Amino acid sequence: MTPPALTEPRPLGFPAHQTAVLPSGLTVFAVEDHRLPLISLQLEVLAGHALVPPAQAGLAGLAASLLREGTSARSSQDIARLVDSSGGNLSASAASDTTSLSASFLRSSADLAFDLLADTTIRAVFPEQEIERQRAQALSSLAVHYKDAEYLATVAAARAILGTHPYAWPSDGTPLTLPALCREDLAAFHTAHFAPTRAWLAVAGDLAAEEAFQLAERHFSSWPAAPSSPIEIPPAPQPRAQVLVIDMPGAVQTQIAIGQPAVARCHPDCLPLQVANQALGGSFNSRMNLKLRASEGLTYSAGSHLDLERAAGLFEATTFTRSGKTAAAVRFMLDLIEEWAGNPATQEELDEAKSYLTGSFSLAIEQAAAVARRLLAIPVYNLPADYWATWRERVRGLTVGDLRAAVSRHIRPRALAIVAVGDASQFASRLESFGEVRVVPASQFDPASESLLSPGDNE
Amino acid sequence: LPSISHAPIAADRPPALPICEHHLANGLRLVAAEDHSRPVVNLQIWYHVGSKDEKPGNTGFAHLFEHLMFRGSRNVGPEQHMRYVRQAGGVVNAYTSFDTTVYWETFPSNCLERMLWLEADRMASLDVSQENFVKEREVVKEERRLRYENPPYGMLLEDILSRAYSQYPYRHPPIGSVEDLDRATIENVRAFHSTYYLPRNACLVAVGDFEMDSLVTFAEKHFGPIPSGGRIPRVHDTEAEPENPRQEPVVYPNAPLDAIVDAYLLPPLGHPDSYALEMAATLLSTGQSSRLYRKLVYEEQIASSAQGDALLLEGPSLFFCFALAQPGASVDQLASSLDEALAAIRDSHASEEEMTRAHNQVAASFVLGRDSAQAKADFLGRCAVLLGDPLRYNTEFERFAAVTCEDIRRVAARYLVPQRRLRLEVHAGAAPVVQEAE
Repeated sequence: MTPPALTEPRPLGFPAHQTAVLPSGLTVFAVEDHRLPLISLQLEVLAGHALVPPAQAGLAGLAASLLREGTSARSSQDIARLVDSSGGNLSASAASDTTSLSASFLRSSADLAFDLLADTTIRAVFPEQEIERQRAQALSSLAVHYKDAEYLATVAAARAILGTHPYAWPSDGTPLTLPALCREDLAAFHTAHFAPTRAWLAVAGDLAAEEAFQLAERHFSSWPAAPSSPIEIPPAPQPRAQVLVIDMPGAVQTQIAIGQPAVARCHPDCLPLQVANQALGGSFNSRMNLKLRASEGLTYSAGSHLDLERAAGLFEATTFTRSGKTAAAVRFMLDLIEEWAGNPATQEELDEAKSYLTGSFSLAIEQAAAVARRLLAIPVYNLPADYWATWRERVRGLTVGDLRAAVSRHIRPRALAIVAVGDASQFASRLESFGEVRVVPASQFDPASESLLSPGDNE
Repeated sequence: LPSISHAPIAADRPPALPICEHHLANGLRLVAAEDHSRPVVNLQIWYHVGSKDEKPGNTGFAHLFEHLMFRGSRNVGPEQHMRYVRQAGGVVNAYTSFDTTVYWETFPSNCLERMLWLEADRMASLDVSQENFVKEREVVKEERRLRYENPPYGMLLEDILSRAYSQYPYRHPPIGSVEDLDRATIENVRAFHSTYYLPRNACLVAVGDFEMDSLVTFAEKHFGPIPSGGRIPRVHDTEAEPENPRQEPVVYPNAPLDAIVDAYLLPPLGHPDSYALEMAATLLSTGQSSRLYRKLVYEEQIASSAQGDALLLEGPSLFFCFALAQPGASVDQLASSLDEALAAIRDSHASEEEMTRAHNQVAASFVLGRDSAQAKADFLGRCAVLLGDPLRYNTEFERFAAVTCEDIRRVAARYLVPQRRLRLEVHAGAAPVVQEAE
């Protein structure tokens, strides 16, 4: 019996939005959606951790966590009480390229939401005692992370793949870099990089666009334009084959990451690479998950992804398996990547990827805040203005030849970095067939040092 | 800038959902709400069977079985389920909890009938080979290693449940034990399907862009022919009221920081006292002005995180209080601060300002909890299956809005008391990585 046929889909265009540029230079997008009495504000500032030298790794993230911990007008607990009293959420975090602030409030607190977002963005003062609190919390959370193979694999893979590129350093900092950061570093980072001409605000939800623009103008007009030193992040480095093991004695499972540098998000090959990745490891039914999970029972999940940023990116395949099967899992992954490099997708795989990506686009834009996030990606990643409006059409237009050409231009299956985090005594010697194996004990692993070893632990 | 003032109770309310019900002759319930605002549908099928229905020696079986439901049925080959959903532009997954097993798909509204057909096919028949059964069991063991055995605090849930319950089958988490998984056979799989995966033990939940008439027609066509099956075995265990405080140490060799987890025995989900207990959790934990954050994390700086939360289940439930120590703080300090915070909530009324805050936080969480077809269907299914009436979707918020400061004090004094408490003292076996700068 064959499944019931699909009926004609109800079309859903990329939702309309309005744009205004305030006198201060801040660009504001408004996405009206009156289904819920809720507003979501998202602000992206080009103040990412890639702007921080490795010796100060963690600075952008610590600065983000301190934005709501005291402004020239309000104390940390004032802000906490105002946010909580109205049932709101206010948070900030730093990624590679940007610091992202987000405020989600009930409609009746719209004015307060803009007020708090602007106050914490513009007037954060980084009080000493709050720095110590946030630092202590960040160090405790790192202490837990450093016992977690999944976390260490992500951090180690970024270094193995991107070397000393600005995107390679650990965004959370390390137990050595965080204690060295001081108030002056935080304030200087804030002054240098937080500016309305390097920021975009998206307002989504139960607010007329005009009102959104007025509120943005009222609360953000005092944001001073900062001296704009140009942001210069180099393109990705050349790929370099290597095998890196982070040794966690006693671990019962190995986290595996295999990858290489990749292009910036605005590169014309980005779309065919992303569609090709669907066949390799982008879904449950991808080659990688079918082989390692369904056929071999080696893992709960295997997949691959592209993390493409403003200036460069990385391609990475990941899985995890019981310690004794580590080498077998690496072998399967390498074989699959090599095969994929020559044959990125069959016509059937391409058709399935297209159906999925174009069909699920209406799911991905169901919520106003999700539409807003996509709008913000356009300026942050230097994408064309009609990027989302034409996205499905461009996916539908891709051919197997387009995928093959893009993959052959960028994927180097002989130059992959292989990272395994687990109990090295159970598997490291069996990885030697993939290249010279470097074993770094987790207790000495320092992702902010060029050698990956903490000072005093040089090999 | 506005100064700190007592914010008013927000006028914003979670919007109501137009809920329809339909019952098939074989016992399958259909609970649905049309929402044409986007061309999207979320479909869920709730089987009223979870880890509490497992017998001793068979732990982890409901969850292992959930995996096998993706490994083939009469008309759908292994892995084809995923493929059919994907080709339609949909996403799919499932989860197993203590009380239920839920399968869901979110998809563009033009493929509703296909999704119903897929779910009906695996309710009507399961076709899993011995080979795939054995492989899937290994997959589940990797899931267990990932979430439980390898992370530094991964065993916490298992350790607390096995001590907090003396006999009720919430004593083990849904993942089960490796020994029991190894004991499972393909015959167990077939028996489980024919015992629990029956129309009368299932509820079909749908929210989104469809006409109710078509939904009923498709459901009758694809699910209608499935025989209703026999009587469903139910859990009749009880949990004795605890009489004395209990305290147990555990050592986690790979954990860098000490921690405390307290578990207090509570009445089930939907009990009249459960609303005030959830509001107590809000006072203790929601936001950076909440009591536990302010006291343990911000003022005393002895914890890097501190939370209180009610795990409300169909049977005897738990209220958890959790604190993770900062380096240098002792388990005893955490314990006495948690005890002070709990004593305060038992002994005195929350201020008017605090009550307004908690009510607004609950209102915001209800509004946010309706921001997608899936979020709505999640709560609709919970109301239909676990609270017994889908119409409670539209009235549950009022039960929270009616909670007073005296209700919170009363339930705290009734349930959040030392004699109902199991305290797990977690001792770090690993030296902290945190180093001081020179």
